[in-house]
Amino acid sequence: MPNLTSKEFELLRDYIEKECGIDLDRDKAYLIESRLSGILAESGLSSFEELYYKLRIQKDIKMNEKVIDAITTHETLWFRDKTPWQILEKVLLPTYIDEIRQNKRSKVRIWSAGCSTGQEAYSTVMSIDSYLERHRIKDVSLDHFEILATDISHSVLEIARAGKYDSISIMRGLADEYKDKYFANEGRKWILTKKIRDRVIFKRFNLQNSFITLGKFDIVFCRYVLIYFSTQLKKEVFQKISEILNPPKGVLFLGNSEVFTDYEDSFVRMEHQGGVYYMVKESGV
Amino acid sequence: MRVLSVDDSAMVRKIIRGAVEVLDGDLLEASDGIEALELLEKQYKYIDLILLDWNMPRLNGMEVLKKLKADRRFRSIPVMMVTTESERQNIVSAIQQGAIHYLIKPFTIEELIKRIMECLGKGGYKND
Amino acid sequence: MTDMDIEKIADYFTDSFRQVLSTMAGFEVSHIACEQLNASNENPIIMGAMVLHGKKDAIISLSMEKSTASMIIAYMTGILPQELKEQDLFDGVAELVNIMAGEVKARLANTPYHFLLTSPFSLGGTNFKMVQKKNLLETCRHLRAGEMDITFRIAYI
Repeated sequence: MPNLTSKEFELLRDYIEKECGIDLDRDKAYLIESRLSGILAESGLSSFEELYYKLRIQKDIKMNEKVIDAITTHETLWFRDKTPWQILEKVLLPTYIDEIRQNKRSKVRIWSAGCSTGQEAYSTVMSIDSYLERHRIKDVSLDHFEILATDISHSVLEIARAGKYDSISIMRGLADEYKDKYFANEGRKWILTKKIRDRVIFKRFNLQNSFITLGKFDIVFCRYVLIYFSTQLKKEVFQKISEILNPPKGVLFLGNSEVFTDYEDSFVRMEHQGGVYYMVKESGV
Repeated sequence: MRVLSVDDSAMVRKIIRGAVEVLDGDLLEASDGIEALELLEKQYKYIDLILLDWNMPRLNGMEVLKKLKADRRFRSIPVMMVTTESERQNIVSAIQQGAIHYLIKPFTIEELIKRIMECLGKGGYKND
Repeated sequence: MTDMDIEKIADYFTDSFRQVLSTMAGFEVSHIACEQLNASNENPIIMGAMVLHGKKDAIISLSMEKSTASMIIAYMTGILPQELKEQDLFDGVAELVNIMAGEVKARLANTPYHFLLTSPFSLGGTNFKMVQKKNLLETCRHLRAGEMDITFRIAYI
């Protein structure tokens, strides 16, 4: 097999930037190279030329998604950054619960976009369940909440659905209180209780596609997902999120270290005890 | 499902054990290429996947891979390289020698589980 | 090889180490000014090291207190610190060096500083000092993850 020439590599890199919407940091070219070599292995392709041909000429969508999957990494922490769940419990849940009680809403829809192995979506269900229990709320239940979690990768979704985690994952960010309450331990394996698992619908979804089929949401988590994407694709994704958030109070959470500058057309930046969230503006406002 | 991890680091084998257990599988361990081949002689029929490090004492991963692919008994067992060796030409040559996957250290535990599943034909890029 | 080159290469190692700890242990590493290990430190130290074979050979090392090694290896393996044996720590720190070096090796491919990996090894003890000949081309980085301190050193030999 001929090695990837710098010309071939440039071609592939341009393709990836344009078609997959991923910005490749030129300093990290060697990493991209390694990862693309991995794709060859997985696909049984015999050369980089063949890969380029599949992507560019045959417009192989699955290969395109594979490239995105190989170049981006999967985030893995429970309750990462903590503040989104503090905001959920302190600001959002009390309002939702009031509205449900006053028959102003029948349910709350939440989307974990780029859910990887499910920690974010499951953290959310655990947070809601624990909130309802701590406040002895009986007239509102998990039945009022619908949680959708999507990712581009089939395999991470399978791991997420199974709700089984290794002790390495469990160590990262999960408070003992949640661990004891929601997980059964078998050796090094931690199994999430069915009550929480059954509340999340996992679905494969590419953020480059239209969001309309997903319906409307009250909360969208889109955290540490767009860090690799080009400014253009980021802008498109934020625009699409603003369109599927229920006005006037639909909320978007980003990662705490992510910077979102062009939000003012569609969102209002809100702060609560050091945490940040973006509330969608009513269209035309 | 039974997986053989060949790695000279006990720490890496421990990480791999966690991943395999999450997938309800069993793990066999070898700390270098010679040990791996000895173990395979006896148990090859019961091994579904080999995770192979590259830089190891006595017999390195690339040499093991060549031996595996040259032996009719072992040839059909899928091999994933799990190694810190990440130069393109080395990755390409491992693929040429018949490795079906290549996982570069450092990896997250989720990445490892995902790759093992893919090697076993679960959760690849199937149609929806 | 100049002072500038070695500083740049040391930064590559630091980047790589940061990547390894964040990916495999979930720790964020910051970089503070290079200091020698505190000579009065009587806590046991574990040092992982590796010889790099290149046009000019080098030795790299990562040293940390035993308790730091224990915390890092625990988060990397999912095994509680109290259940880790001493052997696990020595093996783990050596493997950290190995993984860190692997990425830098790929990064320096096709440059004059390209090197081959050798077997990593580890050493341990108290009142640990590393003394090298004078005028050796060497540098170090002091890294911090939370309360934990780690020292990286590279010397061309």
